[in-house]
Amino acid sequence: MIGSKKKRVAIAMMFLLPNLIGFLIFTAGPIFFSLYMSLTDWALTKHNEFSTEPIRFVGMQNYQRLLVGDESVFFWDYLGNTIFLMIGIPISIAGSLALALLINAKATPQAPRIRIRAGVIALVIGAIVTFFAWLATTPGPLPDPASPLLEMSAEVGLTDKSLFEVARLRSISFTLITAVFSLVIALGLIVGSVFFRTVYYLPSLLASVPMFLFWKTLYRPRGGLINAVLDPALDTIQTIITSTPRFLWYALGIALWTAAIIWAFRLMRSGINKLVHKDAGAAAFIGRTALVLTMLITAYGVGAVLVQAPQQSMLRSGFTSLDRSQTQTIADSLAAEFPTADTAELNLIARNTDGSSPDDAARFFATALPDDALPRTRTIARAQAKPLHDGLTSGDGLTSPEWLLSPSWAKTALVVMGIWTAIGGANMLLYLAGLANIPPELYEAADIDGASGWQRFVHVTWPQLAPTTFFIVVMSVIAGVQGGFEQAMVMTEGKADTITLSYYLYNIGFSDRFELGLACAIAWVMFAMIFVLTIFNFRVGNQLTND
Amino acid sequence: MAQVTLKNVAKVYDKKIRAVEDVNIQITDGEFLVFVGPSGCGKSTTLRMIAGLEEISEGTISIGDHVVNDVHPKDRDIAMVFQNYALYPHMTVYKNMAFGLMLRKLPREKIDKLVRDAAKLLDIAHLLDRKPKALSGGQRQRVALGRAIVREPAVFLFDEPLSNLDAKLRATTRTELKKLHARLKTTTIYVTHDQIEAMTLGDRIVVMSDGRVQQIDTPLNVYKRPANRFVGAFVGATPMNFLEGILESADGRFFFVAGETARIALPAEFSSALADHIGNTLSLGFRPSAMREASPADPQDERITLRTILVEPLGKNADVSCEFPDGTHVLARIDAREDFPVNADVQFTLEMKHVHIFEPGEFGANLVHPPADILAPAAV
Repeated sequence: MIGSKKKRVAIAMMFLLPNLIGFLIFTAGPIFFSLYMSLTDWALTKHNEFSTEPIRFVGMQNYQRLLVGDESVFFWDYLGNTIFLMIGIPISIAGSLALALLINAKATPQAPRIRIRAGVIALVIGAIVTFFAWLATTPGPLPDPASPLLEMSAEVGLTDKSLFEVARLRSISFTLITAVFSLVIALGLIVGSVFFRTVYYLPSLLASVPMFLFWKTLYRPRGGLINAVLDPALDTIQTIITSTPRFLWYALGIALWTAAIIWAFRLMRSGINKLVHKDAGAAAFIGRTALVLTMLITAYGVGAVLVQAPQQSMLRSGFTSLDRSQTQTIADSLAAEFPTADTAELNLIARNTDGSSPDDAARFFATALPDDALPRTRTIARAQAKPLHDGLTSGDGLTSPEWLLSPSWAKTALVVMGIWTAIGGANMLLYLAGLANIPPELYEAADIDGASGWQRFVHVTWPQLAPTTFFIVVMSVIAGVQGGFEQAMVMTEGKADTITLSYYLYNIGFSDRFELGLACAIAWVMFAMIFVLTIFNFRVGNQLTND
Repeated sequence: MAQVTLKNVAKVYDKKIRAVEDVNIQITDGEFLVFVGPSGCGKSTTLRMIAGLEEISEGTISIGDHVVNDVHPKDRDIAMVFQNYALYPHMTVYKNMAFGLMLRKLPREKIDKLVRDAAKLLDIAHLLDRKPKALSGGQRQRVALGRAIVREPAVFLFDEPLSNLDAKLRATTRTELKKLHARLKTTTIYVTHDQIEAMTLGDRIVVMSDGRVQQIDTPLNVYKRPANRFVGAFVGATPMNFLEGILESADGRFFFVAGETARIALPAEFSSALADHIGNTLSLGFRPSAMREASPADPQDERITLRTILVEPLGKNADVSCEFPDGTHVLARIDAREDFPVNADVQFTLEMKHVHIFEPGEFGANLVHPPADILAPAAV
């Protein structure tokens, strides 16, 4: 040790100084400045080099507008969207874990000769299957342009592509999928788990925007790969539904509900039992309750679809989202109908509801109108939008969803894509590392103790992975609250009810309104939410992992 | 309670690496059998095959009257204690011990009684609510033992359970294990690389090397009548000294001639056993304790002359490092005395009843003191 303690601290500080200065100027400074900004009415439209109007300090007004005032309708709606997109988090974590377990299982035979032989066999089978897939799906020659078939297709709105084009696209897609799947399986058999690890990690290596564009193509309602596979599948299911007696579907739905309730009851009873006998802590009980609730909700949804399947109308019918001119038309007709309404406010709402579903737009417009105006507003808004030929919503039975075009499916589409991206990414690698660190003796002890495969997972793998899971959950929740911007920007441009809080912040601050003060307030509300959620995560997580 | 029988058991990895070869052992009910051998000799693999953690490549293993080759570990009625204890880190001591019973769906009250009884027996009753992280090495070891005991299995399997403990704790735990076995009288199979553990614990010892059983015998017999050169070298607190030489015969007596360095007359009792080996290269093996300073009464041709290098007093005895003129190293254990000459030529006498003569090679058979009852003939 050289010098006094004071001197040593001073020397250390000197070394830290460059970083500290950088941190203060470029991180801490802007953070606290944004806190100040959120308390002002700073807006680029009002305060710029051409105006002399001073920036006013407005106190908590921005926060008040956001949480309970005129912006609250949007804020809470977009918060809802953000939370909807976060549904993907537990699913993708579970998927990552499942994938890591599969890859870790060392199912590939060790001898290279066997692997190559299996791979070659898989390649041959894949080639044959691909060939027959192409044979079976490829359409005949281009139909006569005057044939009644084409007229009919024009009638149902397929003006952009002839039926032939759609069929050809589907055939190509179908053949492509079969070929790619065969290739992946064959290569996986030859190279082993390393290959799968790489394949599943690929999404993480792709830049996000091209990947979003790629998924946008996949999600095209007609000719997109996803619906190319879904259409025939749903047609088959619909045929089965219509050709079987109705009561079967009612019975199925009711059976599912009953089973779910009984299972939930048993799970909760054993959970309470464990809690009473101190076999498990309160955190585990909360987790169990959440799982049971999720299962009940899922079972309710699936059961509802089953029960309603024979009626061919399973959800309320959907509408396309409104564009800017349509919302303006709504605003104009509302202004004519309700003379007392503030026209400027209606116009503002018209600008903000660009891309909303008619029902959402109606709710937003109603805030500027007399109390009982909502039903009439909804009628006017719906009149502007086109009804969708949407999965489960059209009254025509099962048809493929219009995905990114439909407010009732666009968020789901984004969630599915998010799961695909996240499942094989960093989370899987973290889980693989975690799995490699579990001492094999624990599994052997569990084997001798008589644990089944599931019990081995519950009592060895899962607790041993708890620190990994904890880290992943904390990081995913933080990313989830901030997320959704790029996806919505690239894939839906905020239409079809896909605006999240981060997109809202961007719209307010940089795109529509340039109200920097309000945007900063949104940022700080998001920060507060992340902060609270992370504290909660740490509390529960510590209880679960600190064993 | 059950006997365990291994018949022609072998373990083959990747169709070519033979880790364990032709093991035949009959373990009687209530016996404490110790597998001992250097690391990589196949003793742990054999134990894991008995436990069902490794597939049995060849041969059969029976526990009780049943062949268990295809029986899952949980159904073999065994309990195992691992080297690093393998306690479930997120469970309390109580749950660790109760886990196997819970999975077998025993009633809660019965589990509670079994766990508390075992905890009392092992003196860990006050630790039941702790997690393994909060325990010392010795306490963890007891919990691992407790987890095995509560199941009341037919066979206990121990895989080097004491090697993670410090030397002092190891000695006391060893004694306790022996007491515990005397009390429970459960068939026990114990694997260790420490020959002291093997000698002190085992009713019988199985010495293994290179995947093969070298000798199965009581501790004393293994010590006194090693089946081959390897066993002689491996078992015993101090390693055996070996001299390589040729057997010669003159005037009806046998002499062991180690080049220029020594010519040792062998007693008449050896004659019949060695008659067929005259002129052959053999090894002479003797423990340090079989040597003593020569007294004038000892016949000249039973003496060997060695140069002393170093003396290590041990209290009652002293270990003397010596060398033959050709540099062959020999360790002698003699009665300690203050003025023992160092760096001097000293004459020693061998006690011929403790001298062994082995056939050449690492596994050369013991010609003069073969095991009395050869259960598994020494291989090679």
